Amino acid sequence: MLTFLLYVLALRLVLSLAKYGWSVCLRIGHRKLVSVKQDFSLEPTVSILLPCFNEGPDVYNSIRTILECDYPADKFEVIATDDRSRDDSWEWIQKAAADFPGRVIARQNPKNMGKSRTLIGASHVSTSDIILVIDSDCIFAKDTIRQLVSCFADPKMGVVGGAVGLRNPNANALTQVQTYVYFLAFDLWKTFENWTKSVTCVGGYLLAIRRTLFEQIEPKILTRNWFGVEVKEGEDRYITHHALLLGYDTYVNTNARCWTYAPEKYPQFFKQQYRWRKSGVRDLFLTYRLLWSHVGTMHPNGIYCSTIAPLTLLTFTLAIFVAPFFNPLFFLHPITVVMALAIGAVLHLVVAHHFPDQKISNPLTFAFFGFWWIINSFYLTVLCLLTFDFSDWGSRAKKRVKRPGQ
Amino acid sequence: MKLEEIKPAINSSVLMLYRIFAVVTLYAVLAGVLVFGLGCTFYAVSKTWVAPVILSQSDKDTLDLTGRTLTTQKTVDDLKLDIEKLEDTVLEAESHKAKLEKLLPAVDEAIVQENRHKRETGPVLANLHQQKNVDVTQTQGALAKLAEVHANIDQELAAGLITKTDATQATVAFVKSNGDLTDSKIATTLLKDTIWEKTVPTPTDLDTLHKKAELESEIACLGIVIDTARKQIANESSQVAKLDRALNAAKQTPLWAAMQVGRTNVALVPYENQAVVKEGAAVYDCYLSFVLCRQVGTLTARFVGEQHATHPIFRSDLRGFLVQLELTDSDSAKSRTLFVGRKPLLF
Repeated sequence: MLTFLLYVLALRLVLSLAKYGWSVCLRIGHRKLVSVKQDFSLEPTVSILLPCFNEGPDVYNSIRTILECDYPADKFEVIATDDRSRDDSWEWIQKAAADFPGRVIARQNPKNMGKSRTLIGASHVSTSDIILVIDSDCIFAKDTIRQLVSCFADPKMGVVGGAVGLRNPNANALTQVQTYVYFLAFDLWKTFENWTKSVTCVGGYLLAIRRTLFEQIEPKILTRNWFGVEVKEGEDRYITHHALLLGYDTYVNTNARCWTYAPEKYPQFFKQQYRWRKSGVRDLFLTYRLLWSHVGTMHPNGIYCSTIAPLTLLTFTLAIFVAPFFNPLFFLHPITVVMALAIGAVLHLVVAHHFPDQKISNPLTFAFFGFWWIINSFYLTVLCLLTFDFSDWGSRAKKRVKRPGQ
Repeated sequence: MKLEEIKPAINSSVLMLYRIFAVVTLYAVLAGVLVFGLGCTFYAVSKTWVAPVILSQSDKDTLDLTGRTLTTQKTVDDLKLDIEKLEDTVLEAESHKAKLEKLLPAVDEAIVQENRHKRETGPVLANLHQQKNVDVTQTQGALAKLAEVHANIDQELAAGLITKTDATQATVAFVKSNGDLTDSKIATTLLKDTIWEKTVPTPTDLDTLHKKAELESEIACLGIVIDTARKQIANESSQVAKLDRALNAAKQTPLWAAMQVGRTNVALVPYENQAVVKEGAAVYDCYLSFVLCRQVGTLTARFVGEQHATHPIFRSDLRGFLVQLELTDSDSAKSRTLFVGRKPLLF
């Protein structure tokens, strides 16, 4: 059994190293292979959908920074929708609508409906060519919208995303760990998928989609359910996946950047990771259910990223379950620890060099990343598999209350 | 009935089953994690646990020890026999050497006395030899004169100057004097031989010295034999002592006990937990790792020597020693851990 464990871990390691290694090669040596045709003169109308739940004043900052983007003011609007927050988010949205008249549409759902339905409701208000979905706690670079829109020069391009960094990388050890997680997940990992324009998940923090495509997928989003229970989370992955199944390209333009707050407390972090993982696991089931639809439609790399890559995570979960029965200190073996620290050191150097604003003060926190990685793989996947009948907003359960004007 | 009509009912049933399964599984996982964490923590801090080991005659190690013990014992016996032989040899050689050594001074004394005698008699005889030569010379001179007298005897007899008796007596005296002279010359020659024997080394002397040298050589050879034998005895005695110690050490091991008794229950005690090792201490086995425990025997002896093993829980390297257990429940020897002294959690 120990041999089996080692094989599983080796498989996981080899696949990950191959993927990240190839990503690094593509990034360093063949940037053109991972870039798309961009037309910066392209200026379609853009509706920015901002679903909000318990974001407090952050939603105002988010609206403000997106409105400051270098894009013709008459070509984009913000549709901010409050999903019946329990804090003062709605008041901040109203303040934004008042402060930026004609550019912000403030909406509030009649009841809490979840992110997916909030987005769809907002899309019905919009008439623009491009729908841009953003997170309500993000702030944006000035060229974010233009960077995203320029990628739609290719008519086959369906969904475009951006890269996200942290606004609080050095708040505590948890956010320091997440700096690496974000870099791996939203930057490096996407490079491998960008190579064939088949990104499997364009994050909901910054997702631009053709309106026509969104309307094609909308009915599917509305009818998503798990044995009759409505699925409210993971719409970003779902939209991206269906865009690929409809024959569109999906892409993450890492030059389109935004920054978000990483959870600073463990429960928030856990909920966030849980939400992300669950959308991934759900998507894996969707992939296998529609496996034959992928063949001939998606690029083989996209199929690999949708089918094999997530599977290694499940096998790894199995390995983690079995390992303690044979050796409780399996993951504290010096080789494992040294390897994790070595990867951490490399990540630290890369992040510090390429993203100075994301440089963390204590690189040794990567050790926590190794610890979290085990917990994450051990419990989250199992929890997700056993809670498909449950959906919520995840980490945005409760926020501080600070009234506008304070 | 259409599928769409019964679908809600199917969904509801599946959901219910799924939720039951999910709740049970999640709590099981949580409980597992909790128990695992508690177990790890417990074994990280517990100082009373030992890891039982069952030893039997058919174990590879026991068989190996049996073979090695027999070989060692045979070697010891062979060495002891050899030592006895060597000791006899030494005794015999020493006795012989002592006798020879006693003989050697007598030979020396004889030579000394002989030499002294020669030194005393040699010069005397030389003087006598000189005197004898003088005597012979004088006698020869006297006999020369006597010969002239003897030559006139017949004339004087014919002349009637002397009687026939006187002539005969004179002739006899002359012949006798010549004979005496010859005897003197012979005696002189013999004396010369004797003097030579007394003043220069003779073959007899050399033969004596040769025999003395042989005697000394034999004594030296015996000395070497004795010395070598003693060294060999010392060496083999040392080997016997070492092998005896090794055998005694082997007899202190649990494998020896297994060899003698057949099946022995022992337990590895990590050095961190050695404080609990006391002969007669109670041994406990637990139904659930370290809870719900009962006494299953006592600790009977502590074996010497370090043992290396794998930690029964953490699978890391472990150093410690073995103790012998007397178990009332032999199945307890198959438990992953046992506890010595007291119940680990008092229940």
